Amino acid sequence: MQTREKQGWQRFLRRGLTRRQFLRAGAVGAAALAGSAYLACGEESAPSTPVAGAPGAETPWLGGLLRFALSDVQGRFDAQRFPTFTVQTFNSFFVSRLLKHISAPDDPNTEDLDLPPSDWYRPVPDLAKSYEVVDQVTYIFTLQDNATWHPVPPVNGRPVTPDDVVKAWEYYKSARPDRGVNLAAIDSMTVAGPRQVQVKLSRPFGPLLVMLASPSDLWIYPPEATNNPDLLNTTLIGSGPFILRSYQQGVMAKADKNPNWWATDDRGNRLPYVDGFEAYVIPDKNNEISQFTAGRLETMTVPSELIDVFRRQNPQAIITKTIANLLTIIFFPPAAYEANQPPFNDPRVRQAVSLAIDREALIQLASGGKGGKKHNLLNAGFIWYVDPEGPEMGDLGQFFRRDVQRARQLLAAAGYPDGIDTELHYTANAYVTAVPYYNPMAEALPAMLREAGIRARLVNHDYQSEWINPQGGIFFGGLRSGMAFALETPVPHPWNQFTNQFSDNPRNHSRIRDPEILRLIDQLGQETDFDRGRALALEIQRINARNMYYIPLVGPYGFGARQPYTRAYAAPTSYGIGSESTPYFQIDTSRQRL
Amino acid sequence: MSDTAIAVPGRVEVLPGPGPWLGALKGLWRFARRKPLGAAGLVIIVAMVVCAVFADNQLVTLFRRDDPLLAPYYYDDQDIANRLRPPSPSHLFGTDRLGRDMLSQVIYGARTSLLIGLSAVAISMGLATLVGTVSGYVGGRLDLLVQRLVDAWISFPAIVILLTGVQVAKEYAGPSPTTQSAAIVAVLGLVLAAGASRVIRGATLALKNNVFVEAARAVGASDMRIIFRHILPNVMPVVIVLATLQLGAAILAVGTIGFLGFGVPAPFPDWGRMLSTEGLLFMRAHPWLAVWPGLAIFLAVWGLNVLGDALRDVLDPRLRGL
Amino acid sequence: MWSYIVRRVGLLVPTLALVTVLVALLVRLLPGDAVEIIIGQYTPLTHGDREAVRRQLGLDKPWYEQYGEFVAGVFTGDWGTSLQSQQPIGRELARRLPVTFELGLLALLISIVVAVPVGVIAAIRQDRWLDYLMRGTAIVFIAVPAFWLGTLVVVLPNVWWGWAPPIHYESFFDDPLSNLYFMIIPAAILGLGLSGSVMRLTRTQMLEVLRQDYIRTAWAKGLRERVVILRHALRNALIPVTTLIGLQVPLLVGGTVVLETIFSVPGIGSYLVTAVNSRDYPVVQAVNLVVALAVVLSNLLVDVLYAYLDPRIRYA
Repeated sequence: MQTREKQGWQRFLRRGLTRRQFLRAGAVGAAALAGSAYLACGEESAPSTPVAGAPGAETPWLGGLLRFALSDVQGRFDAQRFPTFTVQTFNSFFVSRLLKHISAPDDPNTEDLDLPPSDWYRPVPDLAKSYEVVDQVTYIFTLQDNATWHPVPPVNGRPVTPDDVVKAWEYYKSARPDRGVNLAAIDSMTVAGPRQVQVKLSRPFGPLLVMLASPSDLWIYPPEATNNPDLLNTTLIGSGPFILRSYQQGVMAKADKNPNWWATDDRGNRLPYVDGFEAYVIPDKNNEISQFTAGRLETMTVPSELIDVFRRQNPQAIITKTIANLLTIIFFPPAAYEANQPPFNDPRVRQAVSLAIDREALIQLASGGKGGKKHNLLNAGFIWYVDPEGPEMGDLGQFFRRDVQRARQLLAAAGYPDGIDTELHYTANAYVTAVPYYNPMAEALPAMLREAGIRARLVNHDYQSEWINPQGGIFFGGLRSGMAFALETPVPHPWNQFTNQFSDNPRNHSRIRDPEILRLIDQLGQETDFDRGRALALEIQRINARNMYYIPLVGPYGFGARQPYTRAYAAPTSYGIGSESTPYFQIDTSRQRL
Repeated sequence: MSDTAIAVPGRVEVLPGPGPWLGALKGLWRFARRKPLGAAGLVIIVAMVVCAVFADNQLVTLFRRDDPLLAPYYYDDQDIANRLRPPSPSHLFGTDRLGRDMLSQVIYGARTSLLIGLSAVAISMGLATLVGTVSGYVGGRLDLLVQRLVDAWISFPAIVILLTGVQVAKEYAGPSPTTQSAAIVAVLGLVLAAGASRVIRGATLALKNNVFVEAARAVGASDMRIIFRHILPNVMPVVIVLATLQLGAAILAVGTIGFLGFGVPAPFPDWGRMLSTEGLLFMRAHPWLAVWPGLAIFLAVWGLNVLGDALRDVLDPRLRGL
Repeated sequence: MWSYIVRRVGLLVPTLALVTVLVALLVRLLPGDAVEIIIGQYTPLTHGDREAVRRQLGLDKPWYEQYGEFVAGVFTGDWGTSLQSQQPIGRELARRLPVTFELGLLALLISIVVAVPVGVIAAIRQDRWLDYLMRGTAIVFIAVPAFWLGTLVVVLPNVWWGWAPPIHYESFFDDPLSNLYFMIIPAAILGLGLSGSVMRLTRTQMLEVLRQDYIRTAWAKGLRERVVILRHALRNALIPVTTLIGLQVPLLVGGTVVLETIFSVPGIGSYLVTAVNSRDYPVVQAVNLVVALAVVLSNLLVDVLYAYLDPRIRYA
């Protein structure tokens, strides 16, 4: 098993070189590399980004300084205590996970996948070079032979030991505010040999590897850091591809490549290719575009409204087009399900809301006229996506097409012939730069709903305190009445998303209890076969569409740009760019102006 | 009253003339001849007031839907198919990213700015006049104490105390747009009041030692009566000038807090928010989104400043240093 | 002179006390459920119980103790801990204050360099077209929102010539030239905004002084215009202008709040905006206090300077 898996990984890495890029998450990638400080808490956005490096057929370019804009971590380094996307993204450059998600060369203007779906979110080696499945509930991970901590005090380049991993796991369990709910299936982690760690599960858990690769969870910090809050509060030490040289809050971070990182390409070049990077804090998007145009940034994401003008200003730049890996949804108050609170206790009213929405217009609005896709409950940038109007959904596709008459009829049938007066709740101060289409979508929805007799007053909430506040924030079950328009945290596995949305979890925004869905989620959690898993996910999405517990909206295409003298690699996920894509980023130093 | 007022240089002259309307017109004409800049400011401000009042037939209400009157469209009439169109005959100022008419939003924005600005200035001037006249007239320990409080209060830069105060006030206000706007008004009024009270106190001190005040005291008039009958009418020119200048400052402040994301909530039109959410961000591609709200803020503030300057020269030459 | 300074500093004590009271009131003013919200927002992150955050906000003690600790903290350099980053606020302030201070100082210099000559010329040409033009322009700079002008500077030269402002802040002591190049653009925008009121005051003071007897004497002596204006009139006209410059300090700080975001300046202003946004009240408190202290002290400085320049003040 171990050998087979190892071969599989190696085979993939070689095969990956010729594959077309499958970068998703373009517009949202802005959040990872460029975004705003507001996204800080609660991982509402899962960017991947057009940063990456392609070994490719050509001789790789070595050296160079990679420059980009990055949201400021504001003095927070510890991704376990502060599990926000900004902090996690920053960690990914310096700190390893056991596994990471796969990445592939980026190909401009490609949004279709060339990879077989089963390779999506495929876990590949990071700190662990291989694993062995002993039985359904026992896994043994073997660490990279040459894995060492960074050559900085107090670890001074010593080898990473299995004991370090176990200690990092213990720290994860104790420091995470949610006590590690995503990895709750793990019963214990113990040393199983000189380079081996054994993971024991309390029950069979299909998504284990995908979840271990997720940047939202387990980071392997050295015990020297986790035992010393002063250290973990001021810098990041790990075994990742880069070494943090300096960090100035609100200004920039400087990093050098880790000369001892475990990875090499197939020609024997030690990764990362670049000598180091500088990540600047640039809160103003106009300023960021100006910096790119002036040749001071290698890569950035571009708001779709500005892409034409950006192209005119930067005719040589390589533009990548991707669909946002980020779900937009409308959800209803818990009281609608728990206390039968009208009007949204009636599925016909919820269906009427969905029918009132003009998704085509929303796509136009969100993408700056560049197009996009209608979401199902699994978003359109996700490999498990099922087209809500496709044949697999059967006649449920009708609820994803605008039909104002039908909406009015449904309202009347539910006892509201004169329509309803309600609110639409949203948060206006979180996504202005990072997800620039969120606020305009919120502002556009009431006029669409009004035509169907749903008169929704727009109510704005502060993001930090009223939206993602774990104590009664709207996102965490605090909606009292009306509807809420939200961005949903993208996760690496549908089991993870559905568990969030439907089980006893704070992210079950509406406290929905559907026994059928819960049963399917349970099955999905144990399923290792992709096709069977996809069928289960489809069934859950069909139940959702029938009841419109959550109303999925749309995802636009987004754009990334990089300088003509670069080659890049991109990953399908989120905040893991630092180890998933950046090590492969190449710069032709003969053409780079510093 | 008239006999005492002669002694005060700041006294508004009552123009003799055939009728009040004609007289006022003549006065305006003389003002325009003497103060061309001030007259230009007056024209801008009158235009702004007209926009604010007659945008629709709700007159001054912000948070209710009604048929537009002066504005070609209601401010949140959206047409996504015609989004981000440059200025054209059907949309003179172009459209924004929801396809809303920019001209209508700018016109309604005048209502937001004026409503908030005027209410804040009303609070500010009311408070400042009370504190300034009483503190100045009574003097002594009370004055010393009040002035230290004013000292402390004006030590907080306006924007700093505004951001802080608006956030704190909104903790009370909740998410309703009306109460949120009220929170902005209250804090802005308090912020503006401190500086103004100092000026009014200065004017009161100057008046206090005037012959007519002493005369009133000699005939046994009470302090209250002196303040209301003699001091107040004579600080009015100062109040008028200050109010004009402060309205300019208030509109700029409303724009700035809107820009920083603490202003009136969407979709109610607010020039500052129009700039921060899309105007400035899309300036490269769709400059009209930034030009109109920016111009509106600029013209309003410019107009009020030149008008205030001119009024000051006309009403009270001693106030030149303001 | 000394007795004046002593008197002036004496007045400072109650002012400072009131400033600290106002700042300390800030958190106490919050309604109870708002405190719950703030606590809820951070408790899972700090992993402590609610009481820990209440303690951190100092809300578990009677008000006089809270105030005492607050003031003691200020004197001992303990400015509290940020809820957001769990880091000492004092350290962050120490890094950011000099940046804003430099920005403000540069802006002040620019405003004086622009405003004083313009004010003098406008006064000499009172109520003529040059006067109108200059006053009109001065008010233009008061009226243009700084965030609008700032964005224009970031966008237009980039579209026309591909130019962009410097990408990141460099400390003055590491690299003075880069530092000045980085600071000069936001400072100029800020300075122009301030120059309007300085110019207006210079003009009116000049007008006042030009009417004085000694100026008439100077003219009568047959002195040239330049000598009369520069040597006799301007010196006296500028004395009150110094007070105004003192009063500008709060405006300066206000202006930096907006410009720091656009130009990525790591100063006090951007710190405050972030803190207000995340309801990090200990930081909001600290920034308010430090800024108010700066204003009070700079006003003291200006008053003393004023008294030194104009002896009449000392005996008033």
